[in-house]
Amino acid sequence: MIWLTWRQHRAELIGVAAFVVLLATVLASYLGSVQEVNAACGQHECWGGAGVALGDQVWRIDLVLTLFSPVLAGLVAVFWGAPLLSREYEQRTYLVAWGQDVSPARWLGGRAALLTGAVLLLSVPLAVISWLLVEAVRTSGARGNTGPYQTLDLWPAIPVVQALFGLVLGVAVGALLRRTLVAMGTTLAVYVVVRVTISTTVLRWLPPQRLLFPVGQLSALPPDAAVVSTGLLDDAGNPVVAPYDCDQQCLIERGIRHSYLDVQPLDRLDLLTWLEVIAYGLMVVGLAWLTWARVRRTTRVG
Amino acid sequence: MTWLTWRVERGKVLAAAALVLLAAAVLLTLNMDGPVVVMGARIALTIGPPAFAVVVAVFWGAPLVAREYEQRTYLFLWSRDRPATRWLALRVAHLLLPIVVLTFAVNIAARLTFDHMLGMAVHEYPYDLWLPLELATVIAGFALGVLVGVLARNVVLSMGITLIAYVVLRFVVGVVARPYLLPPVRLLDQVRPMDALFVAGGYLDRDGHELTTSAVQQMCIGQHPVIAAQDPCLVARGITHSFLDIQPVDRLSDLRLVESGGYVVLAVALLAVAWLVLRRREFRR
Repeated sequence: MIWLTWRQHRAELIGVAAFVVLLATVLASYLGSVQEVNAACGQHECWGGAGVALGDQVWRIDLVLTLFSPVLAGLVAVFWGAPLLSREYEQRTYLVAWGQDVSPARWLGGRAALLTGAVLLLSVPLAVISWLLVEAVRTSGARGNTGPYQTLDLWPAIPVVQALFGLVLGVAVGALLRRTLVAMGTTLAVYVVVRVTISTTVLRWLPPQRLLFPVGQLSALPPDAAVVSTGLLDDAGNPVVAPYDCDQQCLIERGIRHSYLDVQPLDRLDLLTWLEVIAYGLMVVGLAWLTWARVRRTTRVG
Repeated sequence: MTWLTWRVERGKVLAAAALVLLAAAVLLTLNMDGPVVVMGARIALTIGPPAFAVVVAVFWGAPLVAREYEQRTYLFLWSRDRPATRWLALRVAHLLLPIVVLTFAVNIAARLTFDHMLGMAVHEYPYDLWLPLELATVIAGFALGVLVGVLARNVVLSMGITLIAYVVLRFVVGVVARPYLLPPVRLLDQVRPMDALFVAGGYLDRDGHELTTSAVQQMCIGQHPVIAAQDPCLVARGITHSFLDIQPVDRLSDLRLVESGGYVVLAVALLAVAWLVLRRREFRR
């Protein structure tokens, strides 16, 4: 069974594994150079500090850290998950594969266990290296995107559960649609929609704290808080759109005396992180159950 | 587009059109009231148009021929009277129409989102949003997918190879090669002009040898004036000028033209190779 799975999926497995190895090498080399700078600047005074010494590297590090997890999970979803069942259905090999001696549940269980193992094997080291890199960049004091809320998605459990979600989503879509190409395309679209929805709304999952300031005053942000939204309020407390060509005096004359800042303070970070992990976890369990029920039903009929 | 092509390809065409419209609708109705939303819109604008090109290459180009081989439908499709080469030429020609229309829609949507994000501020559109360049990159991706499909004859495999090859191609051309598509202009002891494309920078010693900024920082730590001759430390080390290689802003349209031309030539070459491979296989049959 293991040998057969390997023979059938080796191109996809090797492709994604090669991508992960490349990514891990890049992340590890960044980690090495940031730690080196941190150590050197710790021993003797660096000109401008470790953050400045990193210079041009910071935006490259930010870019790799932002992209690695969505791309990895996307590849797993489209190239590992989606074709797994849809290919068997489309080429009608399921009639042979799920014979009398291997029940469909056992077949699916075996494949799923192997691919889940592969996903964990690839995503756990990446998640750990990237988190070490985040902490090293924070130590350096470089002005990258490594604030606590900006790295919410990089807390090690999240890239791992996202990769698992990708796999399960692909398999479930393949089981429902049963055509390889359609399943791959649909998986990609659903995956992008889910990821975008979650990452743009996660800060609103808990009601944000509203801070009020008189119009025209500089707003002081609590340290390390995340800004959810900003705007102007009229006297009744309703958000209003700022009129064009209107200075402070004119705003006050129109009854717009306050600006607001909706923020999530730092002490909610852990709760929001866990909420995201739980959301992905629930989707993984739900989709796995859906797939299993679907595969069992198929064979009873046909 | 003939009736048959439409019947076979309508799923892809309709799905892509729906996705483009949906993405455009979401981006254009976003309420830009917080940094998360603005950042999201910025990311969507940066990766949206290239992602569309990737989808066309991977989901339209790669399976076009590979699918016929994998499902063995080519045995019915291609015969002595209806050769594979003719089938390929017609199918590609038919699909080019929706590709052009959808790329046009993506381009317009990206420009409108850009306006929506920046409000009334006067702005230049990003380099890659020039319509002919975007069209050329999308068509080159499609051609790449078709060729990979012809060679690999396996749907999932050819999609994977196309994905990797196209991402590498776009990265190499857009990031590595772009500043060198035309010979850059060298400025001595000058500040970088606004909007110019940076190619390289550093210092020159008396003999005209180039030195990197980091090498010079190790010799003379700290901020240096733009005119190297005003810095005693630099002069003492024999450094006479700072230099800056750039592509001035009035050349960007020529650069785009060269880049678009390169992609068009590549697309034609890739399709020609795919056609030749099919013709050779035909002779063997």
